[in-house]
Order: sequence, then structure tokens, then C-alpha cells
Amino acid sequence: MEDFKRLLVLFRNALAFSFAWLVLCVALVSVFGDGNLTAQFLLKVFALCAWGSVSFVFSFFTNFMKKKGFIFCLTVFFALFIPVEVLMFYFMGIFVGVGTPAMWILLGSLIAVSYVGCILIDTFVMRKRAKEYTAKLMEYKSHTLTKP
Amino acid sequence: MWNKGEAPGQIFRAFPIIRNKRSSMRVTVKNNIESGTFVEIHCKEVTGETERLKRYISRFDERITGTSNGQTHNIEISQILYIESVDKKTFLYTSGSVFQADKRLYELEELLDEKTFFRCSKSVIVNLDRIKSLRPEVTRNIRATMENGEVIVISRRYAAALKKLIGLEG
Repeated sequence: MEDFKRLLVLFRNALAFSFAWLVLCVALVSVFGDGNLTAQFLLKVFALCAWGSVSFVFSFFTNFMKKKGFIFCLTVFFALFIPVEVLMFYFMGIFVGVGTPAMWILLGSLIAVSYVGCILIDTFVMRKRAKEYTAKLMEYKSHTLTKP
Repeated sequence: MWNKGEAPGQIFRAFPIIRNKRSSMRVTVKNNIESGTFVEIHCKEVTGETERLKRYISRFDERITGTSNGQTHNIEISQILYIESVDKKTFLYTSGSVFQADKRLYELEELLDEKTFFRCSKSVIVNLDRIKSLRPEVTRNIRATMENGEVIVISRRYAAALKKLIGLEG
């Protein structure tokens, strides 16, 4: 029960943070762009943020997922969020019209670069550190625990 | 340390000496008392190592009471992989079983050797002696894989303390 409450708090925080940022961005685009901002559009933004927050909290903060490691959590998060994000962007009309392919490529590249970057850090930096940490623990165990 | 009713003078007889190859410590075993086990430490001065040895021997074969399926068990401390508090109940996890302890997590933390049992999150104490490997994460948490393959997450709040304890940077 305590865990569920914690997850709800995290969801609320994630939703508030992401929705506030996106509303700010949308408002700026609206002011400097065509000046067209509807309640329906904001509702779609809210739905996207809500799904993003659910995916984020589930992927990174549930006890089950935390034990699986960061790359697994990130993969699950991307798998849950990106299809919905793409669909919502399409329905919101963000990726419609002139310049759309470039925007799709930009979105795809951003996701791919961040994902590959995380995998590279995990493979080359964290694996090396894991060996170092384990070796130190074994040394500690041999000196402090089993051989007093 | 003497068992009740046993005089310290009883132990002094000639018995084989077992030398510990890695240190200058001599270990002798004498089977000359009626019952129980009596351990006495002789040293020139009481150092940290002596204290550690005393603590280690004192806690050897120490047990915690836990219940499982309505039955009460005495669980050897060394068999515990980790201790978890869930909804104000405390559970002891061994390789194949889970027991509910009658003590709260903080009470067990005080009772157990802080060099062996490490508080790794708000609700978990892990037995360092039963960790097979450690893996730091990008999130600064550390994943500890136990001897039975279970994974325990050492939260970033406690990761620095663990690193300091095992001799990595603070």
C-alpha cells in the first residue's frame, strides 16, 4: 500500500512537470507561430503526458522493474511510450505538412542517439565498474567477514 | 568467554597447535571440558582485529527467530540473504525460504553486525557476505546479485556508504 502511494506521488510529479513544460512550449509556439491554441489540443497534450508519466513510473520506479537494470527499464519505457507518442503527435497535427519528414527524422534520431548512448555507457563504463566493485567486495569479504 | 558453570582453569593442557598461514595468529583446539564450547583469546594488546575476532566468535552460530506457515524457526544469521520490511512487517529471506521476524527492521539492524549486514534502502538490510556480484547503474543505484540469483537494489542514497565500506571512493 505504501508503495502504491509512493507511485501515485511520483505519477503526480511526473505529470505536473511534463505537462507544465509542454504547455509552456505549446504556448510559446502559439505566440510566435500561428496563434492558434485550442482546449482540444491541450487535452491531447495532457493525455500524452499522462501516458508518458504512467510509462515512466512503471518502467523506472516499480520494485519489479528496478531489479531488472537500467537498460531493460529504458527499453520498456521506450516500447510503451514511443508508439503512443508517435500516434499522438500524428493526431495532434504536429507532424503534418511541409517539413514533416525532417521532423520525423529529428525525433527518431534523438531517440536512437539517447538509446545507443545509454547502451554504450552501460556496456563499456558500467561493466568495467561492476568488475571493480565486485572485486572490492570480495576483498572486503575475505578480509573482514569470513576471515576476521 | 565461558559457558556457565565452567571454570577457566580447566582448559590448560597440551594439544596440537594449528597455525594460520596468513597471519601470526595461533589457533589451538582442546577437547577438555564436559559440555559446550569455551573460547578464550590471548593477545599482547587488544587491537581492532582482536575486537573483530571476539565479535565474530560471539556471533558465530547466532540465530534469529522467524515464523513460516505458523511454525517458529531459529534461523542461523549467516543463512539470511536479506531482511525486508513490507507494510510494517519484517521478513527474513534465506536461499529457499521466507520467514516473518517478530522484530522490526531497525531492531534487527541494531542487533546484527554492521560490517556484515548493510542497510541498502529504507526497507532492506542485505547480508554482504551472501552477495555474489555488484553492478552500478547509470542511475547511481547499485544492483547486488545474491548467491541465489535474486537481485537487491542498493539505492543511490546508501550506495556511497557501501562504496566507503568496501574501500571504493567515498
